[in-house]
Amino acid sequence: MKLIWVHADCLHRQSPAYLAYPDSPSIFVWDDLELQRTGWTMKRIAFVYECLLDLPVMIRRGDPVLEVRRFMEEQQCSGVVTVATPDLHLQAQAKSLKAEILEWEPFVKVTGKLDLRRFSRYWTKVEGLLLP
Amino acid sequence: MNLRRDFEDRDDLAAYLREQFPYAEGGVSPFVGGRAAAEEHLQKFDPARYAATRNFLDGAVSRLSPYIRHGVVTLREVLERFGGRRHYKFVQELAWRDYWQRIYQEIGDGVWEDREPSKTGVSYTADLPINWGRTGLACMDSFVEELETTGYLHNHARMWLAAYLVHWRRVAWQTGARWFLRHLVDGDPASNNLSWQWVASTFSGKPYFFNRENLERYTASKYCSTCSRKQDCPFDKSYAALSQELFQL
Repeated sequence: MKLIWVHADCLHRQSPAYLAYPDSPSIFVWDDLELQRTGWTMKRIAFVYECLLDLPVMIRRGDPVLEVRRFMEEQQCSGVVTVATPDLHLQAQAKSLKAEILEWEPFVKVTGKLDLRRFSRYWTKVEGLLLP
Repeated sequence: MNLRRDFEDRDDLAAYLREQFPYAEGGVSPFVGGRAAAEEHLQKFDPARYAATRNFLDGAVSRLSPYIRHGVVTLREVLERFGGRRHYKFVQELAWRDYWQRIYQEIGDGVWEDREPSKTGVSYTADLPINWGRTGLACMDSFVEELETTGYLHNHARMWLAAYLVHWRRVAWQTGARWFLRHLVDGDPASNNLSWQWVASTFSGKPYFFNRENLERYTASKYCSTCSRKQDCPFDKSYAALSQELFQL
């Protein structure tokens, strides 16, 4: 059984991780050091906490990697699964946990490389796909 | 230690969070987290009015950004609900978020660095002004208070505030971006930083700025009518005069 590691970039009950592993336990860890580094105010912390209350997730505080490993042992899980994020700090933690990374279906499916130098170039390529 | 999941009400939650996170400043946001609250915003949103009114502070904007930012609702879900050519402008705004995210995936922490050289010819200071939030300019002071109190600002107000900080007060965009990220409930380094860069001209062909006429139009003059500095308004000039005053081109 895998453990679902929920992070603040994906607080969705139908996330790829919850859909792929519907019977797995899940955990969210408040990262004290990261919170103090970014200076998130109570506005954001309360908002995210309320989002967590919608999910069947264990909520803890501390070092996410250590807490996820501890919970894995408690739950006798064989590995970790999470959802992809562009956040480098979360990516590093996922790597430390050797987590399986699941992706959302993209907003728009594009073949080939997109030119991202200006929005207008991106829009030229995706407009027809988004607004057929 | 497992944190609590049961609370009598929002005040109970807030008191508990103050114990758990004593270093976190301020109170809770009017934005309530969770899928039910997101659904309420989805229900209330009128995409037919969006294109014509979105630049006005009281316009029909979705206010879904905190939920999208934290993955409570996905861009794809919003597209499936409100897509189609008749909602062209709204779909394009969803695409802006996707665009910023794709850049973030490519450059990571590079979002903190100038994407291109600045086009203003001006040098910047690293600190917020000492009188920040107490400038006497009713519009800017009100935007600062709203951001710090609620964790949200209308996008047009974000642009005006960013332009004021960078171009009038000559503060580095990174300082403003970092301050926004602390307070915004929907703040993320991609949309936030790259939008600041768009204003600053490090990710656009020219700096974004505004004048009093523009601000009055989209705010129904609600700030100017009571502003203590209405006779001494730094925005009350033509675009040509402001460009000459603000930039060394």
